[in-house]
Amino acid sequence: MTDPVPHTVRGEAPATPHAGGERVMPERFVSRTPVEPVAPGAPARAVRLERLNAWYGDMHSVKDLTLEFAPNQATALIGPSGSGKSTVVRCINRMHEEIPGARASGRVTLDGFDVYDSQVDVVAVRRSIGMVFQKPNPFPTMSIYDNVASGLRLTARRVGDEQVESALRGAGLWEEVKDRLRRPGIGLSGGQQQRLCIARALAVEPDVLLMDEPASALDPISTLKIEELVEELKTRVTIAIVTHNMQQAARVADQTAFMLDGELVEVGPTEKIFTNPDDPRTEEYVTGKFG
Amino acid sequence: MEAGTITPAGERPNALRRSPAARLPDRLLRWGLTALSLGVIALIAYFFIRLLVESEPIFKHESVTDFLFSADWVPSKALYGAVPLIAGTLISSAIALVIGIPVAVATALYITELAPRRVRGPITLLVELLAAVPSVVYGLWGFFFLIPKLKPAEQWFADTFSFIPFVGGTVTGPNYFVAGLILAIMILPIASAISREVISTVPSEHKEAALALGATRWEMIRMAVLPYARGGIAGGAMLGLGRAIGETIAVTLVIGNAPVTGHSIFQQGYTLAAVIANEFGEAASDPTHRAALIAAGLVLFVLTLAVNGVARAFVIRAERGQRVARTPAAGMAG
Amino acid sequence: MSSVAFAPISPRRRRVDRLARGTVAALTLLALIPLGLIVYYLLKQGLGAISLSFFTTDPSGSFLGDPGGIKSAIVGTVVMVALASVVAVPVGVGVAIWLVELGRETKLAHTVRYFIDVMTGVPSIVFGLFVYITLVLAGVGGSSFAGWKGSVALGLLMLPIVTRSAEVVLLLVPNQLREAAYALGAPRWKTIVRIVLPTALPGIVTGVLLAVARAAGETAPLLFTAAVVNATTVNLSDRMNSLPALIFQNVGQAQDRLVTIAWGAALTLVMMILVLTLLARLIQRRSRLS
Repeated sequence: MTDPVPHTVRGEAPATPHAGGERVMPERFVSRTPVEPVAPGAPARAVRLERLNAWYGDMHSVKDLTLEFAPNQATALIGPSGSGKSTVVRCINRMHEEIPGARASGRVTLDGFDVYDSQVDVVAVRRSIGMVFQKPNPFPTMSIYDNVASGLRLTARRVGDEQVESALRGAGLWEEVKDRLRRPGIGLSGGQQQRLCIARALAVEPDVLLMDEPASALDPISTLKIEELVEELKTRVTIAIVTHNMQQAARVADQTAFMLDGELVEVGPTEKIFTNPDDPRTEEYVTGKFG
Repeated sequence: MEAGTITPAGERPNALRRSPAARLPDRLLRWGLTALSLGVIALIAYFFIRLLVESEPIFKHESVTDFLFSADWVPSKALYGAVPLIAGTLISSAIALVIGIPVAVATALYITELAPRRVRGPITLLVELLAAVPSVVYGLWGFFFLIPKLKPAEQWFADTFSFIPFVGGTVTGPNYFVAGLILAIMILPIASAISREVISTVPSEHKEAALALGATRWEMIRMAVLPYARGGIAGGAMLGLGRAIGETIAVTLVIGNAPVTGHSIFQQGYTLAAVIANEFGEAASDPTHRAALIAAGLVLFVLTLAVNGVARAFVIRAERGQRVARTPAAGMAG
Repeated sequence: MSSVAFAPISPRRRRVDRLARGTVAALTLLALIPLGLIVYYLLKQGLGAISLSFFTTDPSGSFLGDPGGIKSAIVGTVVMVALASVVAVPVGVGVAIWLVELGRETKLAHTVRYFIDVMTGVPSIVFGLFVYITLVLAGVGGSSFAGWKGSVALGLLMLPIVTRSAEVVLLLVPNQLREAAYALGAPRWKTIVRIVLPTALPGIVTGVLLAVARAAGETAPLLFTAAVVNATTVNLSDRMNSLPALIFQNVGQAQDRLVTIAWGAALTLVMMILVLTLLARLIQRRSRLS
């Protein structure tokens, strides 16, 4: 894989808080002193995909997709296997290009700032857009504490205990692990590991959280807990969740997008998609006729 | 069998049993190969015992502690203290590890993580080719090329950094450092191969997790690859150490074969393996001397056994750790 | 749209990243330099010695005058390694077959595997010492030093290499092949000989070639088992010359021409080993397994 060209960003990110209407990036590494999760209603970001195309070598896996993820909402991507939903989500935080031979074109913007702009550093993008994977993947050689702190340690020399606690609370895991923070992360059960990964992603305070089938490897109780989390989290981050479980989409998502063969077939409020979709293909899928 | 034929009870062929004659080749094979394998065990055990027995004369001459812990190896005076030999073996091997392992890990990282795909094969082949050079050729090259070329640089280093312990002082042509350097080159292929093996088995999910958190490539390697691979890398280092300890010919040509423990890494020394190769000729007529050399061989044997045992433990633990890391703990839901 | 977007990643992190990756690449290059230098010096110093007479004359053993060639060394190496292989390869493959097909996971098999592992780690000089004690000192077979005793030492060296690599290859033979044979009523020995071995053969040959290459380059075990002589002989009960021993002997010589002989012999030896190694890799790549 060729190395992304290192970018310099023009100008600096000023520390001024939001003035009315002015789009400016808040100072990033402010440590939050209260140990509760961030107050709901804090601004998150809108993600917009414009004419996104993605290839694996010659295989055209995402075709001309235009889609918007509203801030502070959860958007579900549903569709049969191979429809390209995971690829779409991986294009948002530019993980797609890590695969040898993979490429993408189009615009992916976070509040108007193009993630694929040549001036933008992909490392910075991934800081703002977090990801939770299908299979829980805490770092096996690190403790619970160190796992959560791992993202923070990339940029800050010292990591405050309160940051770790805040992230674990945000993932609904604090009570269960507060007495064993130094134990290895892989010693937890599958559901707990996944929530640990969510905490790890939350710790760096991303604006968007991408979740690629986060509960598909878990048992039903853990799945329910994850879904509850999504409900809570969407008040502070924009969430895009890929799922093949339609009931899950119906439960957690405000908006649902249905994909088929790399194309966006239909998008709309979840209730509408499941009860009264416009496109016949959508209706066939949600009623279980295929996929 | 065709329908309708019924063999009379008395003549029914017992199709389920083979005749003893037909089973013979299998039997022969089994017993033959088993005997062979047992023979291997017996052979090693026998040789170990013979080593012990033949080294007995030296332990009549002086006690085991005297042999292992006195610092004078002067055969002409019938003094056989192995300290300079053991020290030399350990010093040159330590230098080999310090120089060789970081380079081996670097090659492994480069080949598996950083190199463009088309370059990987050729570079791997070149590293492997280092193992094709026999030790006598390494010694030849070290003797005629490395020693003269390095001496001025070593002298400069010793003078400039003389405040570092074991560095200052006179610099001899053949010395511990050159021996360690050659050993480092010789253990490179095996250490690199094992490191490459473990590094390439790091599951991509951990690497992706690191990248998705906003890590640079190097940070990803530091967070996800190296910690995972460190057990296997340590095992590879131990195997390299075992190789370095036992290396004879290349070392004896560049270490100076002086039965003393030098005061700096740039001075001459001796190793257990080198002393055996050098002195067995003159020891042919002196049974005590010969026994001393055999005892040195015994010490060498035990050392390599120990180091390789540790290496194997590391590699096994690393493999087991990998298996554990892949399965989340069973038990309570949620 | 303005490109001021995501907070810039600190220049320090970028620098560390570039520095670290540069260092890794530099160290890799460093690792390859010795190879280049050795090849260069072998060619530079050794080519001068190469000639037809170099290969067809024995070393003269004289310090002055014509130093002769390396014929006896080549012959000695070939003969001793061949004898070593003739014994080590069947035994090694036999033990591997036992481990994979018959012993498998039993305690005995684990012990045998452990001892083979031990053998892999034994320094070659210790093997030489073994043979010296048991065969030379004891005067077995008459004369003290002999070519065949050198072969024994080399064979001991080759054995674990052959066994290890053969075991790996045999384990790669899919079990379905064996089961298919058994299901057809084939006895075990036939399955091994007709099905398993042929499938595993390229891999085994690779292992053998690598073991041969290793044995050809060994000096230490030969020093006090086969010793060094100048005359060519194929009589294995006599002392025999060998390429590594010849090189070793000539390194310390002050005579320039002897040193050149050493380089020429070194070049010859490395060429032989290189051919064997590359052949082994070629066969490995063309094998259906692994």
